[in-house]
Amino acid sequence: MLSCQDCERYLSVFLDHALEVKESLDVEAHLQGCLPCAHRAESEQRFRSVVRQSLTVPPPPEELKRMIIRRAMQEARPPGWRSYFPFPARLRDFALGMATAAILAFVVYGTLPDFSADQDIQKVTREASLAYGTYTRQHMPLDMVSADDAAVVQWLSTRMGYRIKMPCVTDGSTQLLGGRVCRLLDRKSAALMYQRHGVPILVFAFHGEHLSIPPQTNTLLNGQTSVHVRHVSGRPVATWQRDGVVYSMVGDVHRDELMSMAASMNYR
Amino acid sequence: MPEPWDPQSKQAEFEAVALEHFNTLYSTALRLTRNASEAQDLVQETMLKAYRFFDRFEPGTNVKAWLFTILRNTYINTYRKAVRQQEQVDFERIEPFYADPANDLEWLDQETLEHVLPHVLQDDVKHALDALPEAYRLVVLLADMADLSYKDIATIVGCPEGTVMSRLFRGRRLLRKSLHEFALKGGYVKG
Repeated sequence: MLSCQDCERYLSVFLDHALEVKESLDVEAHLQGCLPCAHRAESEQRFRSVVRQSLTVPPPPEELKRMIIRRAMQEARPPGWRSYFPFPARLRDFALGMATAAILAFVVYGTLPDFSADQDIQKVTREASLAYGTYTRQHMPLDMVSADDAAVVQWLSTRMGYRIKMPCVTDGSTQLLGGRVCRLLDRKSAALMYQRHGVPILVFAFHGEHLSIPPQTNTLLNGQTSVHVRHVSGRPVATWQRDGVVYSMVGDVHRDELMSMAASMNYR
Repeated sequence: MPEPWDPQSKQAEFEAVALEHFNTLYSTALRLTRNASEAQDLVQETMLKAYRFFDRFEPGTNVKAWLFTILRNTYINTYRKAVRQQEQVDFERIEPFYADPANDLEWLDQETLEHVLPHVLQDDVKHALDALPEAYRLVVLLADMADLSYKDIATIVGCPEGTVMSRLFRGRRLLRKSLHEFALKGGYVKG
């Protein structure tokens, strides 16, 4: 038989239904035969029920609950490709993406990205890669589905509000899937989507006369346009400027493959 | 091969789970933030994170404990950081004090408690709970309001079950002491 002292020691845990079977039976047996301890147990239970009743608040109206849950579900959707079309990504998600990319770069290359380099090129390449990375996890909705370069470019020009020249890949192994208008660097941008051996390739184009894309002497396109190639999140992003338009091409392929595609482009 | 997750069924399933635990999450959030609109924000943020990782949630595991873990972490990382940093408890200092029987007070006796309880007002309990050191308050809330087991609380709070047990014991004892003091001030019981 349990002593009153032992019973007191076990009581709280017993009432929380957290005692092992044997101890629990011992306490129960003791409470049946000991009035003071039984009163103690009752008063402890009353205390807990007073606490519970006092703290439980009337539930919010059903409508409010559903609204909170739905709003949460809506906001919880991954920043995704959609957030670039046409709304900017949430700042925090974007910052997290940047931080992850920096850590990955540090892990993979043993060095952090060169933050002292021109900020424009960093922004362009990062956002292009981020948009691409998001796309590979989600299906990118295309505004226009067509393999006809000329038709897609004409459609994009209408949507952009001015005649935009798009670099069209013509290397034989890359198929055009279509295009759409999106946001990059917080501005309207035209996007072409290609597929090469099953891997999606994206080309963005937007007006960026004031942006400065520093030349890289070793990466000339067709012997003339200087292309800036950077790796962001492990994938190459080729960026260049032509007639005030900034172009950025990105895909989960080897840098040389991306460059060979870029070299085969014709502007339409 | 796992079947692709149908977004609509995911939404419906999540909504059902979220609704089921909404009231308890909200009551807990309200006692943690002490403010209705902040409590709503905290619950919404909890739901947001839960929904984001809902497809990784393993069926059969304790969804309630999982939701409360997210609530607790969100509260610690977002709300407490902003407003209540000064209240963090130094357990190394505080636990030996409450563990020492020499610090046990006479108010613990059952007769006093019996006298106090009928006079306890809802606001007294809220104030008494609000006055508890945070880690005690959290385990008391999780056990006595959310009805979670020691094991679940240990997972949520991130400490061993034994620690949950002792914090709960001490938290409730402090609560009783505060209630006794309220009753004394109100003249319901004699000192």
